[in-house]
Amino acid sequence: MNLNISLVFNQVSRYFAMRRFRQQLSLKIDRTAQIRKSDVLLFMCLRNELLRLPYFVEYYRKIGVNHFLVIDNDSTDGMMEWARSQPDISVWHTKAGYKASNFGMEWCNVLLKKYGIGHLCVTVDPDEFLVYPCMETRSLRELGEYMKMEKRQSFHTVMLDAYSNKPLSETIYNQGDNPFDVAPYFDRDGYVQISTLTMPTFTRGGPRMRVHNRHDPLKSPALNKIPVVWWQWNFRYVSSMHDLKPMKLMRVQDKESPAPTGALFHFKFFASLRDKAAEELHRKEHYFGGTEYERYAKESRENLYEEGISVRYESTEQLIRLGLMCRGNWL
Amino acid sequence: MAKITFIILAHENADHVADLASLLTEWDPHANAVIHYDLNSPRAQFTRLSERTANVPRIHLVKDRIKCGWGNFSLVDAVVRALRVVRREKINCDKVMLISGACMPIRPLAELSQFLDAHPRTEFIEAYDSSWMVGGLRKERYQYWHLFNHQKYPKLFNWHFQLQRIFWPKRRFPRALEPRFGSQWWCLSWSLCEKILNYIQKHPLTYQFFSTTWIPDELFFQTMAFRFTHMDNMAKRNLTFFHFNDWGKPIVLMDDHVDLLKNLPFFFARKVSSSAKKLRAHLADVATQPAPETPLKIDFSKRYHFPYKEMIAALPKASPLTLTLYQHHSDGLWTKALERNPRSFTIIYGPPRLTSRAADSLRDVAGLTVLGRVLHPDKVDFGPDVKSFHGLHSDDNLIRDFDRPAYFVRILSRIDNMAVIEICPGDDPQGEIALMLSRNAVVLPIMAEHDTDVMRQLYWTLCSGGGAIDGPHATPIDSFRAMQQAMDAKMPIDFRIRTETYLKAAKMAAETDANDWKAALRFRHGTVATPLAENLDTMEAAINALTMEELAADLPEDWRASVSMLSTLHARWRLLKLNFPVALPELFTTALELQATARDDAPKDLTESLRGLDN
Repeated sequence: MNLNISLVFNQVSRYFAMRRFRQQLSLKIDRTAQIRKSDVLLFMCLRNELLRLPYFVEYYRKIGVNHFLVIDNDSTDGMMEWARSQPDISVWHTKAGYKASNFGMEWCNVLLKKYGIGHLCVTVDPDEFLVYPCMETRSLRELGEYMKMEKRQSFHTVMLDAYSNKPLSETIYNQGDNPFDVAPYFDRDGYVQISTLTMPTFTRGGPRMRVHNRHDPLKSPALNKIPVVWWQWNFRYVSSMHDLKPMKLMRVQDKESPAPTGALFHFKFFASLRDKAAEELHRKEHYFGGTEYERYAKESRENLYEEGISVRYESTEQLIRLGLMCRGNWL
Repeated sequence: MAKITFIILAHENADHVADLASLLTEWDPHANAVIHYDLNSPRAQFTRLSERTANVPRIHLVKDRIKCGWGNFSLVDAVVRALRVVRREKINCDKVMLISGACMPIRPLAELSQFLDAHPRTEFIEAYDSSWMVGGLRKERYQYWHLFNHQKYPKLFNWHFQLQRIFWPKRRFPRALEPRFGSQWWCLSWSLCEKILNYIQKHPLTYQFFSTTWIPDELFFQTMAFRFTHMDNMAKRNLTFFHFNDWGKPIVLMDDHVDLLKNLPFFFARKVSSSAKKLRAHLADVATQPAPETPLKIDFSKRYHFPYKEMIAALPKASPLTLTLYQHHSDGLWTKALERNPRSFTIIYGPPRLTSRAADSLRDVAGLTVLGRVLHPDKVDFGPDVKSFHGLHSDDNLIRDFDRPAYFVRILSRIDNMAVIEICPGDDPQGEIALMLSRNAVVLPIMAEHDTDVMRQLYWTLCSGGGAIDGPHATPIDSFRAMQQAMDAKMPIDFRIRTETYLKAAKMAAETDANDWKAALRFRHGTVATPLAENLDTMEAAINALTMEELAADLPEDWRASVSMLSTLHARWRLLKLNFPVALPELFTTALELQATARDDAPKDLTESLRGLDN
């Protein structure tokens, strides 16, 4: 009985929470009328990321995203003016706290529920670039159709932290550059995947475990993400894209055939990280009060490149051969 | 030139359909296309299609369209309506080909025409008995009433079917017909199509019978063709390529399937992805080319086998040296991590002082990568003074302990030849069992030649001594007691018994003849094990050359004093030449229990026998 009450209470409190987060968003650039039934939608929440956006948008357009739904958390770099010149971007603006909205996830949930139901939805951060098997020749929609055919609703990826072979302060990214050229290296192995009760595929590893958390590897950040989902009304991201509810979406089901999985290239380690770290340190709106950023502000001379572990990204087949993603039976 | 009319069942993007229709009609002045556009699709799309085909003389649209659904009678009715259009419009044709909007020609259309000219009387339609279906409902497709769509109402479909199966008699197939099954897509002569149309006109109730069957599009035309055609004129296969995967869905053709389609003995392929623009352009280009010199030879006397399973097996996969993310979790289990690994490796198992000496004697041998004690509790030992090994570091021990089996597999994946790894009993009790039993491992346990109490004591002292710090003790017996306590704390007694049992069993199983052992190693591991087999004597000589002082060098001072008392002992060590993994330790525990029970029984027997003596 107690359980029932708490279940009902949770639903009610969630309803009000969702309403509150919905009210925080104000639609500034409205191109949502363009969204057609079969479109692939991309949702993201950002702050002062104009540097990366042009290439980001171009990249995702190329792999078949039709519309971008962007939540702008009070950017000051003229992102709104830039977005006005783009044909397929809708922007919501908010000044509310990033941390209070569960690191932007609640805002994404609001938009996903309103626009994403029945669509193939990609939810990523502006520094994450999705890579999936056969990406060179097949579009995201074809992947979605294959998922649908196999009755899979979620697409699992592992986050690969990309870095260059130069010190952090010399890895300079300019607007419009291809980040795959600026930071082409990633760790070829050393990803540890364990299954826990709440997260069946808890993955840690990469340079952030190898270098930053080598004295406490258990504390290194989670690398498993579920960015591509055929969205339904009862779905919800809980904490970042690591944790998606209901639980069945978190499990990798390969009963008849192995599940196709992908990778998410994470371009964090640029020289601009230092400035961002300084700002985020001031805002304290990130995990654990932004302790990760504290590190980055201090150590900009470090080099993440390690001979024997770092390899240069070449193709999706390379990632399949390394065992970082899986093509499944997708002929 | 055969006069072909294409019937296109479409529900896709209007532009694609219009492009396809114009592609199919433009190559030949006698070619026609009749399009049935699904009523379920948006109205705007149909308007677009009507606009694009309005002024094209040889493309006809079916006006009285119906809503189509997978497995429904509508798919038969739509085709019949299209055939009626052919008759009404008096289209002059001698072949009718049914394709879908997602089909594309994969060979020149001129070649198709040539091919049909060469086989004027053959009907290209599959017509098999109910064994054609792989699984699921077979005869039940027509024996029962199917009123609900499986896609829309799967549960209702099932309940309705199950109820009928229990309470309702089976239906009989129309008397004059024999049920035949086959693929939905076909190419028939117009005369046969006319016969079918006449039959429908004459027997409307028989036609109605099919409206309550399940997937009539794989039944109706096949049955009709079988009814009106002589067996010799029936091809055993059709001219449209398709393949259903294990869930009964057709595989989707994409931009990178050009090579796959190149040599298929078919004229059309389904189904082409709607966003595969390059493939569509390529196939449209192929279709308009003139017929090749050597016409395609199609064996239509039997079904075509598409090597789907082989193609799936040939897809790029992760190398077995790594654990694929989301596919293979090691979950901290050694057996899971090692089961897919194809590499052989060597394990020298014994007290660290001896194993390191044995390993050192191999360092210069070609074909071996000699590491150290990689499961050392405080560091990852890749050998003396080796700080990093292909990106792995000797101070990685915390990362290693996060998932030891996975880390071990990472080490193996960095080595091309035979790896030599030292393991001290107690480094990782679980891992030791798995490694000892692994089929990949050449296990070389070190054991005293004479298995006495003293040697056993020395063995465990050497194993547990490293790093153990112990205060000075007044008397030797105090020192000995402290040593025992430290040993017990580090390695519990049952673990030591298990290891000793293992060593005993290994000694019994070990090969005595070096040549036999080498042969057995080659049999299991191939030539990679040869350098190891050649150097066994060197290793044995190296460990036996150690004096007692050298042996005790790593031990705490107090212990060293105790051990040096043994300096006169005749301590000789052997490397056991194991051919195959020694049987499971679980078996030894049962053997131990048996021994224990035997010991309990012994006095009883003795007293009885003594009593016998008394009498």
